Amino acid sequence: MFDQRTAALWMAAILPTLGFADTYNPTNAPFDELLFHLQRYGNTPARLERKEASRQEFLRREASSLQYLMNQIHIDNFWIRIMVHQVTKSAEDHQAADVLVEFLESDHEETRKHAAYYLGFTMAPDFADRVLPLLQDEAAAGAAMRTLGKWRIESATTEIIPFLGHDEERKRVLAANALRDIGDPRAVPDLITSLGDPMFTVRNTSARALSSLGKVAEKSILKELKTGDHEIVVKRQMIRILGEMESRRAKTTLKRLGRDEDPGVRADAREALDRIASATR
Amino acid sequence: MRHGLLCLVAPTILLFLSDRSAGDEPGSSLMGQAESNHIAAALGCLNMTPRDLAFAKDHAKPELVLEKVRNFLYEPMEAPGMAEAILDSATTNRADKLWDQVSKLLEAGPALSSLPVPGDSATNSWSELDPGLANALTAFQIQTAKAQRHLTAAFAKLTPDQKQELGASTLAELFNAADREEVRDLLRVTGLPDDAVTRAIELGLDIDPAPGNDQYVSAVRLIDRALLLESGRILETAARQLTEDAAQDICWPSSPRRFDTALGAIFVGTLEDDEYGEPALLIIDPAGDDLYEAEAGTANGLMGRGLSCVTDLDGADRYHGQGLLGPGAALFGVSVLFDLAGDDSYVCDYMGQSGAAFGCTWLEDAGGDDVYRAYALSQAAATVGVAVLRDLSGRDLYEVGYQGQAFASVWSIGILVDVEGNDRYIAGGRELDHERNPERYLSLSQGFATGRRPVTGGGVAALVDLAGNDTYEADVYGQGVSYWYAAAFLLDAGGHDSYHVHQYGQGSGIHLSTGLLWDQSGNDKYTGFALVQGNAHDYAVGMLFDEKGHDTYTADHYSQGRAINNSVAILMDSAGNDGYFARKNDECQGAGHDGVHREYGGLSMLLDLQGKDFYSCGAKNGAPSRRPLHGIIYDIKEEENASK
Repeated sequence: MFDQRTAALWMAAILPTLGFADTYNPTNAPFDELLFHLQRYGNTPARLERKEASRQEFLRREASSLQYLMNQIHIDNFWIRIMVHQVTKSAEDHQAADVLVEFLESDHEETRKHAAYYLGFTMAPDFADRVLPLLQDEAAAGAAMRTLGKWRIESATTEIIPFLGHDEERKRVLAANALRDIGDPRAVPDLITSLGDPMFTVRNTSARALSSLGKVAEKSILKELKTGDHEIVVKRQMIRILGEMESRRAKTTLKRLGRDEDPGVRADAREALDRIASATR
Repeated sequence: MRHGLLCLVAPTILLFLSDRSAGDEPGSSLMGQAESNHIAAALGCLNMTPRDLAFAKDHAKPELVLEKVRNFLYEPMEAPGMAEAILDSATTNRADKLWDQVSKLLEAGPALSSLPVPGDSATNSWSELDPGLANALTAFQIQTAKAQRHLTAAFAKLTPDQKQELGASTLAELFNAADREEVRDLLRVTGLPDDAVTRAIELGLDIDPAPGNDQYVSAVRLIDRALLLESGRILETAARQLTEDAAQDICWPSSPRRFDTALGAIFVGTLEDDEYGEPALLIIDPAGDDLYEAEAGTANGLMGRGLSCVTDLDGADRYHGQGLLGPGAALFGVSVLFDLAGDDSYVCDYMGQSGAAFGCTWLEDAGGDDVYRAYALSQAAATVGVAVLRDLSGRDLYEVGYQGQAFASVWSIGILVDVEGNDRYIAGGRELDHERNPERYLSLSQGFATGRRPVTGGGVAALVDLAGNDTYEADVYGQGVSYWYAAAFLLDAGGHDSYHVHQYGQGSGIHLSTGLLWDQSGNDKYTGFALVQGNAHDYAVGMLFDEKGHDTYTADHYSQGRAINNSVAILMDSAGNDGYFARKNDECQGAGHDGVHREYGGLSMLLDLQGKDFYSCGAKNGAPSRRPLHGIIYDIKEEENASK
């Protein structure tokens, strides 16, 4: 592979300086040459032109491009990742997914992670069984959660829920988002617990997940507000969710909370009530 | 004549050597209890606490990262503390304080004390010179031997090939040797042979950056920062003492004198207009409108000339660097340049004027309205090393193509301090921002720090202007802006200032880094297009603090206290009647952002603590306004401010 690259570099970079004609033809160019021109800094009009021509050629070759690029994706060159994203989005769902899925068991953790991640930009839920095992893969679990969420794989719910308590903040965020996308009401109690997460990123994504879960979440939150003894930050999150839901059933509870001793709770309760009132007008 | 000279120089000497009395007053605190309380209150409106500022941002694994810089991603409100410390050390006008600060910032630790104690290594006879000057030169020469020992030890673990690889990879990229034959010619005469340059260009083109990155990192690790810093400190201190001694009652020679030493030539100038064009360990000149050109004032360790010192006591002097290295440049070396008086002109065709690559530079101009012009890596710019430029008075003009006016890359510190005068800083016009803004120029200046993404972190850059109505003009990346595990500051302590940048600037953190602009007073104008004015992008931290005055902020989008892609952005204006104008109001002024495919947010805050203010987004004066996606404009009633 290195020899091919060296040859591509020689052809592309050195020959023109020696006076040889500019012969770049992306249609016939090997992938290494396409990639060379794609990732080269476009600081001349000719380089910019080649860059764009290479990008178009990668897109045109669809699955074969993806196959080539995924074989390189462990290299820390963000142009490869940008191109994988673009080819994945432009190709037919299954054309892209058929390629990506073959990389889920790569020896390179970066490759497994990216394969799982970009699968989430295809609609290929029939590959869920291939992605589910990656929830046990520390490197790829976040990407796997995201993709399973986008595919709305309900059977993943119980495996994703524990990630709400993961040490890594981003995994907790990804779990909350995946549970929102899946929409399985079994996640509600754990999502309510996550409203007290130390980081707002997790609290807010959990709150958004609960908002999207609708009636089941509404009922649980109202019950918690009536019976639970929650920290102010959690209480305020729940109030905001009810406002977001425009929950008419919450009006009584919110009126009571409008007299809470905490000014933040009072303000949020009033704002939620205003929102509900606006929606019912 | 001698007394005449003394009278001419003395007032400047006083300023040069003593503490600045006005600077003894303690500066205002950037992040006092009141400001902290307001930030906590604004966060409270969002159902958050200051603890939430620590949300995860440190997601990459670069090497050669300064730990304090990394820590800002965890504790963003520590960044104002570093800004204050830099401002304090700049305000004292004491070189030792600034060295101490640089040492802390560089996390260099103490220099090893195991180096051999220098003996009396002065070997020259100065008998023909004034005894006072001869004694001063002897003392200086002893110190240069010490500085050289530290410099040699700093790079002792590098092979000659590694030095060439580092120099070639840095300078070939900086000046685009791949496309410019004239640059390759200049690199060659600078001590970087064709094969090293060609290899560097090839590695730069490789699809897999790992081989080049590994080579770079492993070589940089072999450099002893503490020893390099100490070498710079020794030479700067020695040069300062020499300057002080030379300002006494000295009888200068009537024609220039040259003395050859083991570390290079020493030139002693006259009271007339002199010209210098050779590399030298020292050029000392008492007066006259002098010309320094070619390799005068350059330090190049690759060519066996690691130390360079110029001290010019008076006259309107011209420092013109025609080569890759110009006066005030250091490559694997240490360069010190003192100019005490006169309206001076510094022009470098490439780098200089306190520009360091694997080196240490100190340029101090104590008087006059000066002009600084250079292509790149100039005007307090360093990559693996330290660069300080202090201009103590006058209305100065700074122009640089890019990477200047307080620039810091890997393991480096770049600090530009301008003490007084209405100054103009202009950065851009040389290298187009081809792939993003093809009709705009990269500036990478005016308090800009960067790592080498993805492989290494960057340094700390600070542009400090202590007084005057100043103008800052940059195009893409400028004015307290950082990139990839680096921290950058623009600190302006007084005057009515104008800031203009097109994209990325004015307190801007980009990609896991921290940028801050702090303007202490005056009615200021901030204009920009995108990602400006207290903004941050991609796990970064960006802050703009304006303490006093009636200020105007104008931008198009992603600006004015706006964080995108999981960042922290704060614009805090503490006083005055201010106007905030944006074309895309829903993408500015405290508006939040959901991180696109990441699907979660960051912290966007615009705080205005006093005055009658106007917001183009329609937010009310005197009341907090929640903004979309968990952002806020925190504008409060006057009495609420007083209660904090």
